[in-house]
Amino acid sequence: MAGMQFWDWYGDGSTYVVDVGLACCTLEFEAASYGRTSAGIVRVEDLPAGSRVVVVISGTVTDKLTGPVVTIVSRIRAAVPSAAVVAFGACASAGGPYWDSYSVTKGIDQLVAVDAYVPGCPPPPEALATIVDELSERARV
Amino acid sequence: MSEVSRRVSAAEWHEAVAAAKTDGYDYFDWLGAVDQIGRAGEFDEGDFEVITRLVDLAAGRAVLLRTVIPRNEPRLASIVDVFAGAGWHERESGELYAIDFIGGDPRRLLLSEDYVGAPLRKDAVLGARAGIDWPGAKEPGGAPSRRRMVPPGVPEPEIWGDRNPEGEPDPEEVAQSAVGGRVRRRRR
Amino acid sequence: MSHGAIRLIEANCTSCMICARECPSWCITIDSHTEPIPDLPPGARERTTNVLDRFAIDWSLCMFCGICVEECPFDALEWASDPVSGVTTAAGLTHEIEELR
Repeated sequence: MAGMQFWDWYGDGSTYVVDVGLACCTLEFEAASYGRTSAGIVRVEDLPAGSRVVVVISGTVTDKLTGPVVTIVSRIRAAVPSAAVVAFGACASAGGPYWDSYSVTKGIDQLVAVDAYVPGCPPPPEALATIVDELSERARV
Repeated sequence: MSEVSRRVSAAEWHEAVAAAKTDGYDYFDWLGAVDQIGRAGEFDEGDFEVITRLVDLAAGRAVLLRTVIPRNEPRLASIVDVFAGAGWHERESGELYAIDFIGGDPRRLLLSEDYVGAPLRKDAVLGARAGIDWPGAKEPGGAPSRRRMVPPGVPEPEIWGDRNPEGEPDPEEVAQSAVGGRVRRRRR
Repeated sequence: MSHGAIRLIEANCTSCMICARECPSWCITIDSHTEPIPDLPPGARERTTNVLDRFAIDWSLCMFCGICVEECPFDALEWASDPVSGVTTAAGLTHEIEELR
């Protein structure tokens, strides 16, 4: 498998966020990650022990793509069992505008356990920043 | 860029593409298909129109080659031996309309392996729309509907589905009904 | 442009179903019943009015196209400035009247 790009979300090595960019919602991820630090780590196994990991599935998951999505999440969870998965946007949450499509999976929770759903088509970048704050328990700080 | 459109018979398809390439249209732009069901008169040879656009970059001109193949026998010679790049386009149209491109690559391109059906055929009904209760079917005040409320994209139950007493639905009736057209049933 | 949620102005809603029927995502659910209009003048013909019981938007399907806002003849739907916030369960993505206010 090719490498993944982990973002050191707060620049302090506490929380690493990785985007599985599948469609237009990934542009909002890019906006949310703008100005943050890329960890320069491409293998989940190389992340520092005890790191918090958030996997953001942003975009439409087609039935054809379910295999790779499951593989990515499984590999991250095998290395970091506490990794949180975020369904970012309506498509990843439930199929969104493609709810009646012949080729779109109606929500990634049919494939993998999901820790948070962020609605929107697309959601604004702040919505992602907020949910990462909550998952990393920074919202209360 | 000037563009001409040329109708050819299905039997001449491969030959016409090869001839156009020799004639200078050596850049393959795209190949696609359209389900022209219900347009009798314009498309006597069948329902599926297959179109390819070839470009002569040097002369700044393009040609659309179009052919028509029957719904019950949707087969056409592949042109991958003329333009290798047509392979993906033929695979796409092949799986979305269940068209057999003879001599082409029969593998799936976009649909999952277990998908059954040809989703871009106009008589293909989206299961989710037909299977889920449409929220708009309710009447204000909750009274039972006096009209039959069928959502857009779903054919009348008499044409398609459980209430069709005659079994096998007619593709043209399904396609017409799903777009909201009133269907006058044919006598069989 | 960033968009917020869609807000229901309950008092304006007549349960006419137009938004639910126009919604391309089928994400609006409305339940209503009819009640007789009270205190009509003596001798007046009995008339009824629709009473809204449930108005729900499933944000996991909504594509924020705004057709419901545009189509509502009674201005009962409007854009809100804040987005719909993230939740931890899929069920939490459906908002009822109380959350749509």
